Amino acid sequence: MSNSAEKKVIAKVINLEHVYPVAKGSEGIHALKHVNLEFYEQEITAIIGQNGSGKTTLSKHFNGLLRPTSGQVIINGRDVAKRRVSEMAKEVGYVFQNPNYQLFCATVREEIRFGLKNLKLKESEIKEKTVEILDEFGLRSIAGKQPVSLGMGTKKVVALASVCAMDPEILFLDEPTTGQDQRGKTRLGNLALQMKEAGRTIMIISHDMEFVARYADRVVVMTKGEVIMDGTPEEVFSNEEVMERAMIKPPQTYAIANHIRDKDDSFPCVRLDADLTAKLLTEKGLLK
Amino acid sequence: MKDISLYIPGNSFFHRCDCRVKLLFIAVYTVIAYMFFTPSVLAFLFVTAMVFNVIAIGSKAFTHLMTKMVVIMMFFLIIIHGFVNPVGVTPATVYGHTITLPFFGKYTVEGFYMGLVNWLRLSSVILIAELFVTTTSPAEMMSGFHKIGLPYNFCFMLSASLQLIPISTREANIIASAQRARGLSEKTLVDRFKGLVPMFVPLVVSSLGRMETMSMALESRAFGNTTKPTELRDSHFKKSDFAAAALAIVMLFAFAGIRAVYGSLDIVNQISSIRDIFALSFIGR
Repeated sequence: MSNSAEKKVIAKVINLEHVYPVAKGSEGIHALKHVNLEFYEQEITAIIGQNGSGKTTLSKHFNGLLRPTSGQVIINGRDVAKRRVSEMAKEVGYVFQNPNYQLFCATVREEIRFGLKNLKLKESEIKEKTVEILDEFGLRSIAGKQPVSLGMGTKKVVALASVCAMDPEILFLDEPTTGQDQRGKTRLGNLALQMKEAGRTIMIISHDMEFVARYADRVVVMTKGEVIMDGTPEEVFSNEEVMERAMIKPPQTYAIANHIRDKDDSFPCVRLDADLTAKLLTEKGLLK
Repeated sequence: MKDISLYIPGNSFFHRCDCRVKLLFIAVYTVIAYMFFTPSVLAFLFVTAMVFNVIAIGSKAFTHLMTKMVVIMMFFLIIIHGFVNPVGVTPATVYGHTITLPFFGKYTVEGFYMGLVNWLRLSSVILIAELFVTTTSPAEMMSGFHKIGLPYNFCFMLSASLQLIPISTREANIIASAQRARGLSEKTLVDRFKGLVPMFVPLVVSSLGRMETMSMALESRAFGNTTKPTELRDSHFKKSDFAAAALAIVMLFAFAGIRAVYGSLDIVNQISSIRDIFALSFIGR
């Protein structure tokens, strides 16, 4: 984004490298190779790439679930490697891909209280915050229900709410749209926008390019442990060479625009959705 | 990720051996181990079992989980028996000193003998079982069990649950990460115990879910249509298998003969010091 220079840097990744040890003596798997990135406040960043490109490995360095082989991750001026995971929880929220791995309480309300209790807040504060979160995420009507019995979409929202309750500045969403219908995706997307407005930095790891193109401000493309591009969705998705290297298929609107641009350079490189594409095509006289 | 399965792939004699021969060895060793009550025969079983393991998996035999278990058992059995076994009366002297523990009294020679014999017994059986689990792939194990007459469904259940252990381990790690990311503290031991609930519930729920999915997937592929399905890896007795089985049977009869003639060789009433035990059982009187 053009104004990213003025935004406050929340997290910084410096020369990060991670090697998964395999067996004794062998070299191990080089999952991250010299990654340098900066993340700004009030921004939705999508990290995309094939399976095994290092997206999740990168993300797990932000709250200390993985420790760097070399390099640093700095959050709010402090090195993550020197801090405990449970300590990082109030700064970095992480919503896992499968909500079943996170939910264990008897009720949705308890689930939201769990993180707050871990932060050792006072009972009155916990109550207040729980009510606030239940309202914010529209979970009030199901607050007394058992999370396990809920549908996949709602479970995802509960998991998200339970993490957001701890008020993290940075929020990681690992594959938020897997197994979600259109309604669930829209709901999660809107929640992401809402949290961004509230001043949070959001990072989405996803294979859902439509979702990324619609909600992300910035896209980081990874292949084989390296960041090969970092830019706005329109820049990234119209760069065919990068898309091919990362084995990513851009959303169809961008793919159409790329095809047209091959013959006609004047086709604008803008943020596209179906309506805008149709309008631009009509203007060009390609759609009658 | 650490592999949890006990099987160590290889191509030794025991790897190529039919599963049933190895089961026969376990049976023979168990029977012999419980026929005798003397360190000499049991030490023979112990050493041969260990040698078999080394032949099968090399130096890994010394660092294998089950070998470590045997070592831990040695400390517990020999120490505990020495102090608490009611047979014990003669105090043992270690470099001229007797060892006394409050509430338990003196460390005794008979107690040491009991501990030693029981340890050798159990560890011979454990080591021969180690040979079986490290050299038999889960698929062979399943077909072996089926061939000695266990129902197919039971064998399948056994092998399926063995294969699920690594999956569950991986899942448990993800769950642990998920809860830690939610601020679950792991500073003290109490914290860790409290943390078991948030880890246990998702693990059980997801395991049950997976079982259900798996059972439907199995049924939709005609599982249970027959109780005698064709084997994926059919195994037949080879010459070497017959030879090994014969060796096991010969061993069994030889030791049964010794037992019939000489009894269980129990010398607990003839010993008065730890040195006696070794002198009487290995050198003769």
